[in-house]
Amino acid sequence: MISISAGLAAGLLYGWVINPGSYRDTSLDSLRVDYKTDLVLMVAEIYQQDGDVDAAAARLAGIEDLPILRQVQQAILTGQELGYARPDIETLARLFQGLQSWTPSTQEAPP
Amino acid sequence: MIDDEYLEEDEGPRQPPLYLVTGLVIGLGIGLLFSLVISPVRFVDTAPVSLQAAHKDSYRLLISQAFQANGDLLRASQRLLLLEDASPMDALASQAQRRLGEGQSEESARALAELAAALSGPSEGTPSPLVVLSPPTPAGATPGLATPQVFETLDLSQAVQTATLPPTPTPTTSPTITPIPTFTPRVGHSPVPTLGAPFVLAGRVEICDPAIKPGLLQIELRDSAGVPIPGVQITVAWEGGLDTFFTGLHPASGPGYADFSMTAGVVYSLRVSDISETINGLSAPACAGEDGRAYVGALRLKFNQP
Repeated sequence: MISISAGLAAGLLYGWVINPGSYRDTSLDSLRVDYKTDLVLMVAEIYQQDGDVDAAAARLAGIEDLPILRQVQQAILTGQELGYARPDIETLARLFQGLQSWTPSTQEAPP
Repeated sequence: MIDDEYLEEDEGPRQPPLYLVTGLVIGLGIGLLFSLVISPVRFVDTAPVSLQAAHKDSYRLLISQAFQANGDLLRASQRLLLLEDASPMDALASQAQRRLGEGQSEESARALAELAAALSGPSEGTPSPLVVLSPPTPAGATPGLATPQVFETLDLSQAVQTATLPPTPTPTTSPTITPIPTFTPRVGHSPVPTLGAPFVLAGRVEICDPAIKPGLLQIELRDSAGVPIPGVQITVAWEGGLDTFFTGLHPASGPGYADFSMTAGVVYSLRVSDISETINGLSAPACAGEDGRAYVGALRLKFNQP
């Protein structure tokens, strides 16, 4: 048991501390909250111009696994906390409103 | 005989403790499996620079499409800086080319190309915002957007705010009025291609210069005012093949520039946008060097809008 425990500890030490993987290959959902907020704002800016709520929902789904309404809600709160300009908060709010009346349909990822 | 028995009994305890080694290996295997496969380290609160290449592409595309939507070049360039590409314009252009090559949406390639062209900015005679924003900031420069942003902590109070300029006090002449924060001024829309009139072939020049890539087809598009136009789709067809690309993917050569590699002996047709006339019978010219040696030259086409 002692030797198994020692091996286990060595294996965990290697995988979690010595060689924990590359920091250079992270995904969008690992981004810091302010970067995610900016991504959601980009989606909102695109939605404001094209009005395509399906595409906006698909873009948001590509950012992280949270429900999309919650993502936008979180972005509005963070944007307010970070002092985003009022037009940006309004842009996010418009996306939120658009998504509230949106029902998921058969959709393809936007380009 | 007695000595032999004594030696064998003495060597018994010196055998390697195999069960210990076996246990160690089993434990190590379980530990590695758990820490590398079942529950690997998951990075959180990362910056865009650390994203996988595919996710960087997604990030870049969103920036380009947002730029198409709001025309805010300054904001787009700030966002691009977060990816820390060696050359954001080249990264955009190569991503656009890749998307076209992979047969993905032309709209997204156009968005990337337009942003690359807008960042090159020579048509307006103004320096690229990327140049303005790149550190080091010149002494005496206005703080704010022109100050390179450094993200060293994970504290929200120091979080990046690419979306807005920091609020600045409103200049006032009256000391009795309390300065209030103003909203971020938005940069005006950058010029995007407006394909009103069809393009007309204004010049066709065969170039015999060994320094130029053999078979290179160079295309330049200008509007009626002589301003280069980026983001215009060009289609080249030949027997058994078709290729599509956009102007502005080589910012160093100008926003209205595009090129294509022709194969010697193949005849091509070319069309600029969907509304212009198709130019047929294009092929790489045959040239002769000073020593009489034959080589393949290049071809330059200039299109204008009337």
